[in-house]
Amino acid sequence: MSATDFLRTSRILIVAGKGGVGKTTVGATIGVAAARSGLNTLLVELEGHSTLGRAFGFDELPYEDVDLFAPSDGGPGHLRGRRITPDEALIDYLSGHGLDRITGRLARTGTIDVVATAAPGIRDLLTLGKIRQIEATEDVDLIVVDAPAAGHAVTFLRSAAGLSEAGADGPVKEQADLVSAMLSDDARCQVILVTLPEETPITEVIETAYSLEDDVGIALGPIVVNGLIPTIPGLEAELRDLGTSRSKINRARREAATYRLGREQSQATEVERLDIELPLPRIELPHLFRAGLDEASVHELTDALLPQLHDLGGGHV
Amino acid sequence: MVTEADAEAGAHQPLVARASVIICLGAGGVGKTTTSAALAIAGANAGRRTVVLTVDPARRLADALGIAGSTDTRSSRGLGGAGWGNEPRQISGPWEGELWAAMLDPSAAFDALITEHAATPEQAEKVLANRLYKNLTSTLSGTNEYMAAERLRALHLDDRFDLVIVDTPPSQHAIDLLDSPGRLSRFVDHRLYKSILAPKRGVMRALNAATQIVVRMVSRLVGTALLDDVVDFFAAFEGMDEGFRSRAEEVDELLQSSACAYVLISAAKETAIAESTWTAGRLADRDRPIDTLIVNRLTPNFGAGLKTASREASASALDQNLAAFQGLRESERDLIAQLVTSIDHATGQKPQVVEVDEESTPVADIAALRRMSQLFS
Repeated sequence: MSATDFLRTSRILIVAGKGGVGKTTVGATIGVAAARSGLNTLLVELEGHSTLGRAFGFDELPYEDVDLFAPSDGGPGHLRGRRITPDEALIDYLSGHGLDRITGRLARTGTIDVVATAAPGIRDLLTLGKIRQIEATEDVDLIVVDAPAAGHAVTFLRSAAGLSEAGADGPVKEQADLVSAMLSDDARCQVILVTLPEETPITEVIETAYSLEDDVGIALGPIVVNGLIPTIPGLEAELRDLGTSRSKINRARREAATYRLGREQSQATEVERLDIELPLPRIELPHLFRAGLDEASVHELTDALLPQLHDLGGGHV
Repeated sequence: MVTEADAEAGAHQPLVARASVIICLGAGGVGKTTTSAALAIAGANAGRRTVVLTVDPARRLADALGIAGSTDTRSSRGLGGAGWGNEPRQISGPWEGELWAAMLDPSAAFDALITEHAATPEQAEKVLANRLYKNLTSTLSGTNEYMAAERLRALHLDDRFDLVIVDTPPSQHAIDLLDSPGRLSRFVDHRLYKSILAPKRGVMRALNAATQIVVRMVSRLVGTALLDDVVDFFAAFEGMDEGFRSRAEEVDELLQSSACAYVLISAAKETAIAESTWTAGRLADRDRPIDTLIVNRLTPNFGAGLKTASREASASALDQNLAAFQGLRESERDLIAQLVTSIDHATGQKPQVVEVDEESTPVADIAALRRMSQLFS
C-alpha cells in the first residue's frame, strides 16, 4: 500500500466544505501530497478570488495553468494550478459552438444572466464541463478541484441532473449527460469533505454528505477533519500539580492549559459524533498554531497527510 | 462642518447608538450571523428600537433568538426561513430599548414585491406561476442579496424601528449586496426581453438581426422549452418593469447613503483576511467607508507580554502550551494589522477595530450573545 494507491483511486478529487474550515488549504495539501508522490497533478480553483494561489505566492491563479510546486527529488511529480470561472467557461463553451463572434457582447450586455436564469445551473454545468474536458484531453494523473463553499457545493454538483429535469435539450443536454456520467463514476470522481472539529461544521458536513449521496449520487472519499488541536503529553498532570498558585505567570499557564484541555475535549466529542453519524474513513490534520498560510504550512500538513493516505490505500471507501 | 471635537464625540459614541442601518459584510464561516445578533442586543441595550434581519441562522442561534419557530431551520438552508416569512418578532429581554428579529425568506419577499407591483391580481398570479420566476431566487445571482436589501429598506421605513441591522446572505462575494439592485434592474430591463416581446407587438421590423441571432442562439443552446419559459415570464412581467426599476433605484440610493454604516466581519485567518481585504477594496471603489472592523474568534490572551519558556520540547508542557497560544495570537494580530493597513490605504480611513476573543464553546445561547454584545456597547 502506498499513498499513490489512494491518489489513483479516481482522477478527480473535489474538495468541498463550508467557509472557514480550511477547504482551500486542504486542497493545496492534497495537491502537494500527490506531487510529492510522483503524480502529475493539477489544482483547480473555481471561485473568483479564492486564496488557493496564496500559499504558492500568487494573488490569484490565472485561467491558463501555472507551475506551483515540484519536489526537489527530481522525480516525475509536479503540481500546476489554474482557475476556472463560470463566465469564462461559458464564453469558452459558446466559442466552441461557433458563437465566438458575439460572446463578448453577450457578456457585456448581461444576456448571459438571462441565459443562465433560463437554464438554472448552466454556469455550474459549464464549469464542470470544463473540468471534464481537462480530464478527457490533458495528460494529468490527478485533478484536485477546490469546490464552491458548502451550501453551494450540492447545487453545483446537482446542476447537470437539474438541467436535464428542467427539460434542457440540444447541446446543453449533451453536456449535462457527459457531466452526470463523470460524477456518478467513482473511478473518475469523488468528493473529499472538509470540516472542523466543532459543532456547527460537523452538523453541516453530515448534512452535506447525505445530501451529496442522495441527491447527487457522487462517491464520497474520506472526511478530512482539519485543525485538530494535538495533545501535549503531560499537560493535564502538570496542570494538576500547579495547584492554586496565584502568580501572574501561573495564572496564565493555568488558563491556557484549561482552555486547551477544554477545546480538546469538545473536539473529541464532535469527532465521536461524526464517527457515529457518518461512518466514513477519516483523515485528521493538525492545528498548526499559526494564522497565516504559506508553502511551509502546506508542507507541514502534507507530512501529516501522507502516512494517513498510505493507510487508506486504494479502492473505494 | 465637522470639528475635531465633534468627530471625537462621534467616535466615542458606539456604532449601535448612532447608526440607523448597520450592514454586516463578511465571508462565510466568520460568525456574521452571530455578530449581527450580538450587535442587535447591544442596540437594544443602548435604548434603540432594534430589528435584526438574519439570514439562514444556525439552529442553536435561531433558538437563542427565539425565531426558530416549530420548523427546523437547518433543513431549510438556502430556501429561506420556511415557516413564517419575513415578519419581525419581538424578543423580550432586560434591555432598555426593544429587540426584534426577522429571518429573511427571499422567495416570500420576491412574491410580495411582485404582488405589490402587478397591475392586477391576475398579472401577479401569472408571474408567480411561471417556471422561470420560480427559478429566479435560486439561480439569478444577486436575487437573495436584493431581497435582503429590499427588506432592509422596508424595515428602515417602518416606524416601529430606529435601528436596522442586516446580516447578509452567504454570497460568493460579500459585496454582492451592493451590486444587487443594479443587477436586478438590468435583468428586468434586458434588451433580449424587449426583442422577444417585439413580435407580439407586431413590430417585427424592430427586431434587429443581431438580436435574432441571440434569440436563436439561446434556443439552440438550452432548447426551446426553456426559452418558452423566458418568453412567458417577460410577457407576464410586462408593465411591471418600471415600478421594479424605480424601487431598485431607491434601494440602491439607501445602500449608498450615509444612513448605512458598513461593518466588515472577519476571522483572523489568512483566507478570511484575504477575502476581507478584497471586500474592503470593493467598498472603497463604491466610496463606502468601513465604519467598524470586527474580528471574531481571536485566540484568547492568556497573558501576552509575559515572558515564557519557548515551545521547545525541553520546556514544560504548561509552557509549551502557553507559548503556542501566545504565538498564535501574535500571528493573528499581525494579520489584523495588515488588514487595517490595507483598509486605510483603500479608503483613506482607519476603521474602528473590535476584537472578539474565542470562547471555549460556540456562542450559541442568549447569555453568550449578551457577553459578546458588551464589546459593541
